[in-house]
Amino acid sequence: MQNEPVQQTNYSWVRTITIGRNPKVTLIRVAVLVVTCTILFKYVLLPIRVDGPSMSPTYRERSVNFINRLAYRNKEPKRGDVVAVRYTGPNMMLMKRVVALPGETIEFVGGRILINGRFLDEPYLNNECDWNVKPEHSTMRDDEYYVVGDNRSMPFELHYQGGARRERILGKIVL
Amino acid sequence: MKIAIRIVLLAIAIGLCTWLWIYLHPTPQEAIRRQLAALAKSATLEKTEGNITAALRANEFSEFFGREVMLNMEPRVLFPDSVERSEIARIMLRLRTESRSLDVKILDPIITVGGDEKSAIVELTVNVDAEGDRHLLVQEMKFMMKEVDGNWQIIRVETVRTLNRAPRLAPPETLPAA
Repeated sequence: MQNEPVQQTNYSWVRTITIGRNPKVTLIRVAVLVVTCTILFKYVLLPIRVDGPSMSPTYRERSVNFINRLAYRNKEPKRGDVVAVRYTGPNMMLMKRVVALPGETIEFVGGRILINGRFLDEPYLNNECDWNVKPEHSTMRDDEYYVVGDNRSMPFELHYQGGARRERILGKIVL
Repeated sequence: MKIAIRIVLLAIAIGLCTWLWIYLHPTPQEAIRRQLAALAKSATLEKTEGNITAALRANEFSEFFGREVMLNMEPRVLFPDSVERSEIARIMLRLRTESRSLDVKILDPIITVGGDEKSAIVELTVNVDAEGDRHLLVQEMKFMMKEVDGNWQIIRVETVRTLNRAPRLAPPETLPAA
């Protein structure tokens, strides 16, 4: 008989830790948390893992980041923004930096970017580049943004870049 | 309390019946989705695959395609305008015997079924991981599919450019002065 209250106390302690003092309130809290997280991480902040060297060293391989899907809801991407460009959906995306805006003309000279004939200041670049590219169709269309990675030490042929249509830009990288 | 439990059990039973009905009578979209999942599984190559399995899998893979498949793939110099099903099986068999392991995934399919519900256009992303080489190939593609005897077959394959107009390297003599 003396042991009974002790067992009761132990049981209460475990129960409080696992399901709380009021299970109904705990259940409501869990439901609210699940709904909030689902909405937040599916429609607002999309978690991603960086895979590949094209944005190195700004974003290291295997690092985790988020895409703010609401960033361009009421405004357009700006030059210098790091954005996510989708393929057919959000399961596979390209992480690139916007360097040319709609209507602008781009070319690479001695590894530097010329926008409408003027060199672009790119303080985020950290490696040597020798790209000399005469663009074939270098002027962006009305809904097109030129995107390229920060790792320009890669050979030009291996660095996937080009004009991304506005509808493909899913959001802005958060961190 | 008993009524609440009965309502919950009824809801579960209705849910299960609905799921079973959808599973047994799939919509064209669902049927295509399953076909694409089977296609990706069929294209996936495991390390331990023997020659007989490779031949069977290559043949199985070709069954997802029509008798003749129209191609519009880049680079154009590498791909013909059309290819027969038997040729697809041959190419697949060669690929399977030459590769060590490939993990093929079809991601984010966007399925648009025609008004006749016998044809469909599918936009999708193919991701191929090889041993020691993640994302060996990531390519956006467009399939045209047709229902033949209850099976959805691929009759046209196109590659889609995710980024447009990537500039080409210029010959040295035409480079602008820095």
